[in-house]
Amino acid sequence: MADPGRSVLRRVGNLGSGAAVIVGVWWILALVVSNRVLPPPHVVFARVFELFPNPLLAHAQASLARVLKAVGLATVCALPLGILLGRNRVADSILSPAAYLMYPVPKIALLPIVFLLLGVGEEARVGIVALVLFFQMLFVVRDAARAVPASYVKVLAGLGGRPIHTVRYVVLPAVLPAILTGLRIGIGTALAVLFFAETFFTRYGLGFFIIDSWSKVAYVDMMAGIVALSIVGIALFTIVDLLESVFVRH
Amino acid sequence: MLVFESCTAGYGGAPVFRNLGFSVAAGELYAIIGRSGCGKTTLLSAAAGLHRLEAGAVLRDGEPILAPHPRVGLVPQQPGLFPWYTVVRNVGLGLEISGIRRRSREYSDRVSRALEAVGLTHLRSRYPARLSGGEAQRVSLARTLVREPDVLLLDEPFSALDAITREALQDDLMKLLSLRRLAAVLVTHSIEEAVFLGSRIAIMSGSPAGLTELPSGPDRSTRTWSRIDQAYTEQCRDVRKRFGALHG
Repeated sequence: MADPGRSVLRRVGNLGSGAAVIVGVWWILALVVSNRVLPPPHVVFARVFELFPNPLLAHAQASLARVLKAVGLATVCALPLGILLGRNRVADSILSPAAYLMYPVPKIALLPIVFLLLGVGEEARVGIVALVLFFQMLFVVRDAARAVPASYVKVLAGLGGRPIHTVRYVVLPAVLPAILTGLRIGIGTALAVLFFAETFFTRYGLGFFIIDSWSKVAYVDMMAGIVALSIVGIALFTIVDLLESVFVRH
Repeated sequence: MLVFESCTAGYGGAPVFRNLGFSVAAGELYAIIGRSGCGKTTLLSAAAGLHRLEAGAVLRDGEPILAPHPRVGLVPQQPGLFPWYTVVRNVGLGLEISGIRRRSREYSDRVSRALEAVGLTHLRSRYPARLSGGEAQRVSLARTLVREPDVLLLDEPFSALDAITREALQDDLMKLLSLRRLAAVLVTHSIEEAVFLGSRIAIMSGSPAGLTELPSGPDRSTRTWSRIDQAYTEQCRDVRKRFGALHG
């Protein structure tokens, strides 16, 4: 098994080199464009430190909390349903066509309906992000549950396992990597949807902060908000990676 | 004592084997040789309580086996180890399912005994991805032994292994069977394996398949033959001839 300390160091190194490339490109672009809409990185980073902790931290916390709640909600709904579709042909034949029809619909387009059904509060913002993640996770969980080798199920049956044991000892561990893959794929889209959802009926969240700064022509603040949103994204990816290193050990 | 009583089974109305009957006493290994698809695995699945017979019954100490029984252990062709669990957890899974807690003394004692029986105590914390084929098959055997079966069903357990590993595992299995006095049924493609391990040998052939039991060779409980003994090679030749005659 890889040394965890070394793995963390490698990860930090990778992130560092990736960040250096992005900042380098940004710097060159800022010099070429030479427009106040795109301030250079050093100005933005200095502003991030000025805005931290107040008000940036509160906005970042609000966004992170919404995404984490949405992840929890999506997982709670997609995991059992995905396993049911993957392991039960009748349920799959009835429910999967509906899920297929819904999957390509851009969920952000449903925001007005979500506001109508859940109100204009936190529930709606969490709900729309959860909806995006739900479909991403549903299909990867279903496919992973379906791909569980029949030999595993037979071995467990031979050991006296009932269907509940099959779910606990075989299907759940088998779909766990798929759940994390679904989350990793879904987080990017989820943040984009959250950004949009935070521009309505709220005064907290990085989406609000970025759009508010833009409307005030405070471009440095706007870029500081984008940097903060990127940090939230990296934090979420890191959480998924940590979960994977703890729970997916082969 | 394991008794197969006029067993008939099939798929979708087409019988795979019909009216199979034999019995296996404690300490005996009944070796069945047959070609792929002749119903060997189905027969063992029925004995393990995993496949419903169309007629007849498999009896363990007079009781029909209708569902998996803790005292009837099946060792499949592929080890089927769960990659997400360590060796210890894979071995102890049958105990967990039967309600024995993982942190209990009984659990750790029984898992340790099973690993000791297959010589793998040093690999207890390893994941299956880091086991060799032979080690994985030993873990599979330990997973069956941990439930302390008195009947062992062996479904071509060594067929995927290289010759050297296969022979080492056959030697170990032989010792284990003599030591624990298990009633065992082995299905295999290998005539050499059947002759080396079997107390009695039968050939499964035909469609639907039937069993032809061969005259017994030397008593396994008293014999000490090795693979280079003339008696062993002669019996292999004899069984091969009969197998050829039955399959045209």
